[in-house]
Amino acid sequence: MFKEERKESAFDWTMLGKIDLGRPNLGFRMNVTVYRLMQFTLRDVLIARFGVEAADEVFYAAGESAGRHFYQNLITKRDSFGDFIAQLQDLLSELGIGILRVEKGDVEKLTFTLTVAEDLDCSGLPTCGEQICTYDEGFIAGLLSAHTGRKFLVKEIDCWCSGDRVCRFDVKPVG
Amino acid sequence: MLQVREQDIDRITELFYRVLKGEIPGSLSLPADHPDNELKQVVEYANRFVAEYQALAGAVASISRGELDISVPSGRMHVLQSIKNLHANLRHLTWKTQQIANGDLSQHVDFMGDFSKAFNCMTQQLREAFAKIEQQNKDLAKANLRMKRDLDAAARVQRTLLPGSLPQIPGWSFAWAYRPCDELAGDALNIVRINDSLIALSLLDVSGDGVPAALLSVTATRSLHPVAGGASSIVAGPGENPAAVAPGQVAAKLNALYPMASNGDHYFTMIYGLLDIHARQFRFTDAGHPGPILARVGEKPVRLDATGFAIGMIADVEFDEFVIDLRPGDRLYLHSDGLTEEFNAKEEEFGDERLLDAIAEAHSLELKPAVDLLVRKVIDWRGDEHLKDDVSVLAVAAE
Repeated sequence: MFKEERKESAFDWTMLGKIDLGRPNLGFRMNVTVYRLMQFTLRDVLIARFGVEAADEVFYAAGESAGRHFYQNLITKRDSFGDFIAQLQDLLSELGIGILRVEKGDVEKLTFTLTVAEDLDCSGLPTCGEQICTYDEGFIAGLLSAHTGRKFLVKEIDCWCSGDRVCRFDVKPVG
Repeated sequence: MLQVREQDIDRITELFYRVLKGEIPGSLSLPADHPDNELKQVVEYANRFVAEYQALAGAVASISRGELDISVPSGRMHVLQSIKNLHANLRHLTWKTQQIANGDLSQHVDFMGDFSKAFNCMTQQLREAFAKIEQQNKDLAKANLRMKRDLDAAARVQRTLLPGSLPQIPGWSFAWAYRPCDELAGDALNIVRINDSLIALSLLDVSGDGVPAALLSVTATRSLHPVAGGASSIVAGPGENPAAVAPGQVAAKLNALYPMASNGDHYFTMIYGLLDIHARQFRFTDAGHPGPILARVGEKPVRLDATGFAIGMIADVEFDEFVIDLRPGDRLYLHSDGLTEEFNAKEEEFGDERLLDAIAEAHSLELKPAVDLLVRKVIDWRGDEHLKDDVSVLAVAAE
C-alpha cells in the first residue's frame, strides 16, 4: 500500500488513517518544529541526491496532489469562487497551515495574487534571499485545479526567506 | 588614522538634514579614485538608506492616495515590511469588499485586530439587514399577491355590470368599448332596455381613480339598473312594461344619493339618455360629461352642445334635458374624456378634432369595428397600450 512500486500517484485520503483512533491521547496535535524537521531534512536529502531542480519538482508535484485531495475531501462549499475561498481561509486557519488572503483576483480570467501569512513552511526561517515555499505553490495549484478544472501555474514572488513578512503567490491558468 | 575632510562631513550632514526637512536629496558621490575606506562605506550606506527611504516614501504616498495597484519595494527595514504588510492588507480588504459588493455576505476578515471585529460586525449586520429586507420583500410580495387577487376579483365584479348581450332591435345597432387603465375603472357604461319603446344608454366617469372611484362607479351603475321583479327604481316605474323616469330626474336622484362629501370627495360625470326606438329620438341629460357626438352621412361629425353639473358636486341642482332626432344612417357616440385627453410623446393632446376626424373615417365601417378603431387611434397616439385614463365608448346607429 505505502511502499508498492508505482509510476502514477496511488495516494488516497484513507492513507492518512484514523488519527483519533490511533492517537487517543495525543490526537491531531503536532509541533510545527516537527513538521519542519521532516520537510527540511527531506528537502536536504532530495537536493543532495537529485539536485535543487529535481527536489523542487518533487515538492511542487506533492503539493499539487495534496491540494487536489484536500479540496476533494475537505472543501464542501463549491458553488462559487467566493464560497470556496472563504471556506479555504477558514480551514487553513483552523488547521494552522497559514492565514490565506486574496490581494487581487479576476475570477473571469482566473488570475490571482494570494498571500499566506504565518506560513507553516517558512514563517520565521532565516532570511536568505530565496523563495522556498515550493510545496505551497503546488498546493495552491492543486486546490484551484480541483475547483475550476483548469491547470494552474503558481509562482511564489515574495517569501519570508526573501525578506518579506508574508508569502505572496502569483497565480495564473495555463493552457 | 582616517583623515576626513570637513566638507565631506558637511555633505553627509546635509543629506540627512534635507531628508528630515522633507526634501529629496540627490545621492552623494566621491571621486572615482577615492580610497576604499570607512568614509566610502558611510557614503554608500547613506546613499542606500536614502534610496530605500525614497522608494518607501513614494509607496506610502501612493497608498495614502488609495492607489493600491503598486508594487511596494522589498527590503529588510522594519518600516518597509510594515508598509508592505499594510499594502497587502488593504489590497485584501479591497478584494473582500468587492466580494461583498457582488453579494457575497459570507466574507469575513481575520487577524487584523480591531479592524477584523469592525469588518465582521459590519458584514454580520449586512447579512441580518439583507435577511430582514428579504423577509419584508416576501411579506410584501404576499400582500401584493393578495391585493392583486382582490383587485382582480373586484374587476371581475365590475365587468359583470357591462352590457352582456346587446339589444337586438331591427333598425338599430349598438356597440361599446371599455378599456380600464388599471385593474379597476372609474368609468362605467350600460345599455338597458326599459320598456317596449325605450332603451337607456348611460356612460359615467368617476373623478379620481383606484378603489374608491371604482366602488362609486359600481354603486352608481347599479342604481341605473331597473329592479328585477317589476318594482320601481331610480330609472323606471313599476310593472312589466314600466314607464321610464325622465333623464333629468334620474340625474337629480343620483345627485341626491351621491353627494361628494359622502363619497370621499369623489363626484362623477355622466350622460344618461333614453333612446325611443319608435320615435327615433334620443332624450338625454348631461352631467358635466363631454357631449355626445352625432355623425351623419356626408356631414362632418359634431359634438352636441349639452352641459350640466357633475353628479354629487352641488346639491339640489336641476339637470336639463336635450333631445336629438336620429335619422337613418346617423350614429351617436358617447364617450369618457379618456378618449380625447390622451397625450403623445410630444405632449400633444389627442383632442376633439382628431376624434371627430376618426369618427368620420370610421363611418364606413360596421359600428363595432368603428368603435374599436377610435380606441386604437388613441392607443397609437399615446404609443403605449397602457393608457393613462380609462377609455369608454358607447355608440348607437340608426339604420
